[in-house]
Amino acid sequence: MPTFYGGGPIETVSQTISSEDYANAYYAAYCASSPLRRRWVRAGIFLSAAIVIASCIPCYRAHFSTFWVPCGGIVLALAFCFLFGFVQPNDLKKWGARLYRSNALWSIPQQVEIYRDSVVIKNSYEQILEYWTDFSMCMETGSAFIAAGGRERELLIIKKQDLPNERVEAISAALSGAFAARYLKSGH
Amino acid sequence: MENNPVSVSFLPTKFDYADFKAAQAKADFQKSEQLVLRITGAVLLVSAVLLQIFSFKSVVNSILYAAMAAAGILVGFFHRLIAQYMLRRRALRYFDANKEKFIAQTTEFLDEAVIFQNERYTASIPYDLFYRAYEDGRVFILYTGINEMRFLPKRAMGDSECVRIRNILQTKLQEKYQQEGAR
Repeated sequence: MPTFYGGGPIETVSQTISSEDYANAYYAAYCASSPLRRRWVRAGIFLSAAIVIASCIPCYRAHFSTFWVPCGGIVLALAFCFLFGFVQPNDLKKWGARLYRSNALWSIPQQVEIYRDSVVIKNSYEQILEYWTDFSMCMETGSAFIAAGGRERELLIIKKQDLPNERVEAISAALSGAFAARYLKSGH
Repeated sequence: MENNPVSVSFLPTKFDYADFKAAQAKADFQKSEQLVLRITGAVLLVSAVLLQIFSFKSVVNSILYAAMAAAGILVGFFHRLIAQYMLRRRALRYFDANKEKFIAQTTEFLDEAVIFQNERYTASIPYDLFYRAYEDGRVFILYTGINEMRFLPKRAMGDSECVRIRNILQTKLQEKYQQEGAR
């Protein structure tokens, strides 16, 4: 699988992806795909709604003798706040772990070769070539580089674990150059 | 199984892709979801009829109940048809906007593994690593995971090859192989 640019890879990483790695990467990619998908943005919207409803209670009391309706609204908004803040993230991670378990190819040790324009992922059964332009975005977290939206495989995970700092910096520089504005850095 | 492997080469067309997306939706559609939709449709329909018979009669009410009954019929009995139509339309639009993503590929069924080959992806995957396989009247779908799959349009193969692939999948995947609407 020759890439457009000749020469050897910038970095070669050998790794085995665990269920937890995949679940965390899946959740990180989900959150990064839109600001409205972020945990605290969603929870914050409903918390703000609860505060707005609470602040309207005096006005409501001027017209009605009870305040059960705004109380119901506050309870509902707080329930959604709790759902998006604490329940949904765990559910998404559980779904990520289920996706991982369903695909036996994820648990096989793999070698990731990072080129200037592309990445080659090899394991004992398959070899995948993806160009960086295929991915919709790439994010760097404290534990991994995660590229989402690949053509052959939805997620590319490059673990930082066991990599010396110089190699992590080299990968970070290569990916931030390749993805430019589509490169996000978080978790530091 | 015969000794010579079955090999299928094709360049996906937009109708292949639409068939694949429709088949994928059929494969993912749970019986419980269908039951819920049927019950919802029936409840809407029966409620509309009862309201029309027993409630205050006016032109506006009659139009509302007729709309309710129509919604009940659509949700309860034609949901699959509507979903398929919308999925196919979306798939055709997606294909037109992303033609470059659909490249020629070859799939070969050997005794122990399936070989996939295109200019980006080369794999030899043993049958026991497949998550499942699905067949309908127009495509075979081979799943390596819940969200990862490859399809083979039946138009790219002869009848005998289709039967051989079906036999291979039935034998190798057993309960992981599901067939619907295929002869």
